[in-house]
Amino acid sequence: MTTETAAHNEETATSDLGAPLYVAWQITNECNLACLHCIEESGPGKAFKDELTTEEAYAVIDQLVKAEVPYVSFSGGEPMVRPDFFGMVERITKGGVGLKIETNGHYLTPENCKKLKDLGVKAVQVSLDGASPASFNKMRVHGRFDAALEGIKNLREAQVPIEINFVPAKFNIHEIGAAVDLAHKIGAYSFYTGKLMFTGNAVRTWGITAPDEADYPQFFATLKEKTEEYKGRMRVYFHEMGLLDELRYRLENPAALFIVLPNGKVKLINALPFTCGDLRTDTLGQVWSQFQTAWKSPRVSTFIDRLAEDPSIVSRLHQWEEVGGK
Amino acid sequence: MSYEALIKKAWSSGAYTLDEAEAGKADPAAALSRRAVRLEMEQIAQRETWDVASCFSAHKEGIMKLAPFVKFREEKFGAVLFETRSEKVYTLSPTGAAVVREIVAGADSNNLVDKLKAKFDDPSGKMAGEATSFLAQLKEKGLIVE
Repeated sequence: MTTETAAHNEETATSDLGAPLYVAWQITNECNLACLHCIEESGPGKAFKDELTTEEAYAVIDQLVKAEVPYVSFSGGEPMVRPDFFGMVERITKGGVGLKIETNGHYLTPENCKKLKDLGVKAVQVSLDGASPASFNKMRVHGRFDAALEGIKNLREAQVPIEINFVPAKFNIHEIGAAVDLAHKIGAYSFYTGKLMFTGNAVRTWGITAPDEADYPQFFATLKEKTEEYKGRMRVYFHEMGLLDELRYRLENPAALFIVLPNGKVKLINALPFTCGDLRTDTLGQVWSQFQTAWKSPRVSTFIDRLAEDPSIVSRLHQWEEVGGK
Repeated sequence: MSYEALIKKAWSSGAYTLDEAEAGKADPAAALSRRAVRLEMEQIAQRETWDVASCFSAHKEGIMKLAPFVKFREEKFGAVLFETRSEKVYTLSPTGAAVVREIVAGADSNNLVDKLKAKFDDPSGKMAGEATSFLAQLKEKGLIVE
């Protein structure tokens, strides 16, 4: 052991790590809702034809456990519609991995919340795009504001830590202050938001969803005020960076984060079409190595440069291109 | 009294209640009633100390443990701590990793540094100094409980 280096805390260089620190796993593309802005273009009947089977999903989980990935999120689509959802939750939490569920909240019955608590889920993030039924129900087609609130109440009663996610749109951006207040009132410990992204379903609905750019300064000013107001009581996180700025930053500083698609393919980041491996056939170690290489590929930097000239190319995020893998 | 202070008090005593004197000091600028403060305190305590029972157990036994929302993983360069609530990553040097390894093994706060000194050469006392300082940082950031 060397004692030359001081114990310290700082940002980790991704290439120094033996495995990802966070795996964001979209366990299905099926969803009970059909949200106007859904980045994954999920919805009823939208499950991929080649989604991982239970056995394959368990094999991926076993690799995550073995590699000591500290934190994984299950999202979708709506992750709770997978029939083997609780089996996957049990297998991963018993393996010692911290697990977060990202859900629309419509399946958070008292029984399910108790199961999540008993299985040691670290947090459940519920999407709540609005402080009123009018805005929420408009954004989340087939969704019900009261059902989401009821689910959150059930989480709270089961003592599962709650996070709230809010996506701004033309018709709800002015509710941001009320939405943060509501999140605190219903017991959330974190609130997340950022700009609406021009991708997924939002490409088709941009005309009715995209906030006026002139509304964003007030949106972020309110969030700054709320951050202070709730300091010590609820954490308010928001990203002011637009998509292009975010991608340019990530090109220089890749996060130690995998995006796993429902079919096992691994994306570099949600907002790029590039994949770097397939956990159905590759080991986690192979994909992690390919991940490092892929971020350095000229195809990735060229895509980001092209995005600056033509924002519409981000609408092709689901036409995956393999880079750095098979 | 700040909410952080209220939380610390709750962690120490196990009581999520305020007496009149404390209530009088509780955030008067926000003009919250004693009842509202207490309710919020209970909510925060429930949320933030959801594994509080095991924390108290650790406290009684005089041992330290990683907070329930913290994950530890060894790396070639030392280790990382991942805080799942803020999703923040802490990179640890080999000394930091050795400290956390002892904590995971159930070290007593009073003799952790002595244990490290017994295991590793430290003629200058540098490692012991770093370990003591790092231990204080871990406590301050709430990454360990005792």
